Amino acid sequence: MKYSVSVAIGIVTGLFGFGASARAVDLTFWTNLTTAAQANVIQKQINECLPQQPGVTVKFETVPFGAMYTRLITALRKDEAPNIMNTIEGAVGFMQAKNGLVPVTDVVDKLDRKDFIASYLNAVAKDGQIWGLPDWALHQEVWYRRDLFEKAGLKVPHSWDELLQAAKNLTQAAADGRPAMYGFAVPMGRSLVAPQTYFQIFYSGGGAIFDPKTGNYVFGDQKPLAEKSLAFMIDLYKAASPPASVEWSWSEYRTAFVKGQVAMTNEWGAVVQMAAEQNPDILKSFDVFPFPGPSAAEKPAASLGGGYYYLVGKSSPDKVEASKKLLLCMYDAKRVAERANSRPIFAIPATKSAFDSATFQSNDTVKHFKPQLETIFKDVMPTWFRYGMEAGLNPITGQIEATTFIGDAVQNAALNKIKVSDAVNQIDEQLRFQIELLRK
Amino acid sequence: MTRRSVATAMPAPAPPWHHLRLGTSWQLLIDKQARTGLLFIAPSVLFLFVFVFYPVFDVLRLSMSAISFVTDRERFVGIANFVEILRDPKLATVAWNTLIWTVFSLIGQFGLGLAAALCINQNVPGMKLIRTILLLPYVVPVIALALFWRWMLDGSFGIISAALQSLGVLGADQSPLALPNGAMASVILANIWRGFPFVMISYWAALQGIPTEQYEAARVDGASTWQEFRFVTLPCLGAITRVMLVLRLVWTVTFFDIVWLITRGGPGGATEHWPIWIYEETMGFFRFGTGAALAVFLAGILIVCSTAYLLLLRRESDP
Repeated sequence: MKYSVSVAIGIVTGLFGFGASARAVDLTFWTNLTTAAQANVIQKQINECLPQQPGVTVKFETVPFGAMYTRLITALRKDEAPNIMNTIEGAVGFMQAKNGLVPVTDVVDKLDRKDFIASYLNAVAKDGQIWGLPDWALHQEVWYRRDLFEKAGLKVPHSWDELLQAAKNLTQAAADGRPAMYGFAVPMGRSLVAPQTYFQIFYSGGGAIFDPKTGNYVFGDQKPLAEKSLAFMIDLYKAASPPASVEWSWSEYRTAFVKGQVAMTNEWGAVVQMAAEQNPDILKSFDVFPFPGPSAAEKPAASLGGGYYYLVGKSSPDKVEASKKLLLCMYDAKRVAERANSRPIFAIPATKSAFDSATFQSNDTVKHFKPQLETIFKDVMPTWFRYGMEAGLNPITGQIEATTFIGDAVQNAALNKIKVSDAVNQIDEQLRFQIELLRK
Repeated sequence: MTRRSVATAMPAPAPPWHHLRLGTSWQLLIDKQARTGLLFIAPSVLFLFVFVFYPVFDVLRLSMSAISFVTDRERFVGIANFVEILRDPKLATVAWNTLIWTVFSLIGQFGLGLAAALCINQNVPGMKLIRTILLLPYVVPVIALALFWRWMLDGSFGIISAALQSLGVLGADQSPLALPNGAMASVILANIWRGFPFVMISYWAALQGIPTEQYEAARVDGASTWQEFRFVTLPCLGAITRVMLVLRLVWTVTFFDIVWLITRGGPGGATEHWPIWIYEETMGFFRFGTGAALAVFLAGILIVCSTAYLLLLRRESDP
């Protein structure tokens, strides 16, 4: 009897097209809004890929970075986390710690693990699983004015001392005593920017918060290097950076570089698009080199980098499956390259196939900065860390990004309100406190 | 006879309708009226419960809880969050910053607001336009206002910084926002600029209500302009000042946006006031219990201050 009933149901559903393949699956898709072009290209690709999955619909939404954690907390509490999200590594750690993600190791393997740049996979690895698909590979290096270097007879610096000297040489006083040019912008905005500048220097000297091999907390054991890094950063600021840069954020130091007020800056490549819009003549003199290590005898140990990742939220099996299928379609090399091209140079594809693809390599900006991209791809992108994620995914990264304790310590040291050693002690104490909080 | 015995000897006051001998039909009518009244106030009561009482109760509950970051599990911790706040080394700095921010913002807003109100109270051609222009800071969105101030204070391109640099107050390419005291002064100025139109309009309305006879009488008595202001205008503005002071005190202490958007509480925490501390604990460290305790702490201080102020005023106004 039971058998005949189920057969009858099967026939009826078959006749009326109610099969599993056509079942309605509504997905929510969030992306952090960086540029309108990026959101548009993602939306276009969703529309291209959706016909492969009849019955699947996507509600696409852009979420400003500033509102992201608030939105995520609320969504997780209501059990309405997005099915797919495109966001930075700190949020991957946050979502994973809150048990809001499913691993995407299977998707990585289907796409070919070797195709991804290893450092971007390592950053989101935990418990033997990969928790995010690398998309935009972000990178931080020194952007400088080649014309000014040539004019001053300077070579690319290979140590902190050489960098400081070059920055001093490039800081030119005008007739009224007001510097006409500053050698190096050292931005120290309280939120996000100060930690990024500081850890770029700290990583170049071989420092880490957690040991990349053991995962143990080691910042406290590396105080001499931490102090040396901060002292160098402040020396560079006092010798060659505009005094107001102690509170500069991205827009201020990028504007200063694009307008020709500073000769060098630690940067993510966003100055290219900004210069193209505001001062295109200056573009031809832009060049890059990796932020040097303390000594010319050794290459910089690492840089501070990051990435945008696609996450799959914990949900019903059909939604997880549909989400992964959609991402598989969106990870076609051409599409990965298209997404990177929506913010060229700032974003570089995290897969080798997309980097080598005609779509990426034929982009005008990419062609213009081909030698610089080679340097970034070969010398910067393979070895990077994000504060707290040296040994893989860690929610402390989100805490560092959402708070200001590193910025406060750095700014107070730069303003001579506290000693460098006290600033490092404050950072150490707060990091330990945060780690303890996350364990509770 | 003591006062108490007089009170007990007095009969209980009768209701206003005691002379009516209510029949059943009247009783029904009153019941019906009461029911209708209850229906009318029901939306307001519901609104108060949902949007006032419940959130306040929830914040109080949260302030005595610790919530795990990973599991979201709540546990009752009593007054531990409050004890932690009192032991926090940040407390003195943040409390001082909040005091400076509030006191100087209020002095500036009331001073400028009163001066502007006296100006717009004059009947001269073009005053309508001036009144409208002076109201603009209050209607401009805070984000636009914050960006506008940041540009004016930019060390390299800002008009205010350039003026201060040329006067020798600031060094070359320096910005007030990069100096601890300068940053606090900057956000206070921005807040004065933002808030003075409210004070101006309130004072202007009060000025319109002062009878002209009072000024005429003062002039007959030979009062100077200053004496007219001191003995006629100021006393007449007393009532509105008292109300506005309480309102603006609460609004200023809890005003988060402008400081966050201009300085983010920096440099080095020099402009971190109480609302920023609440935000950082809640949305930075995700310590909802501590954030709620900070909010309750601040509310407590504000309630105590406002009550003390009102009691003081009542005592002063008692004959």
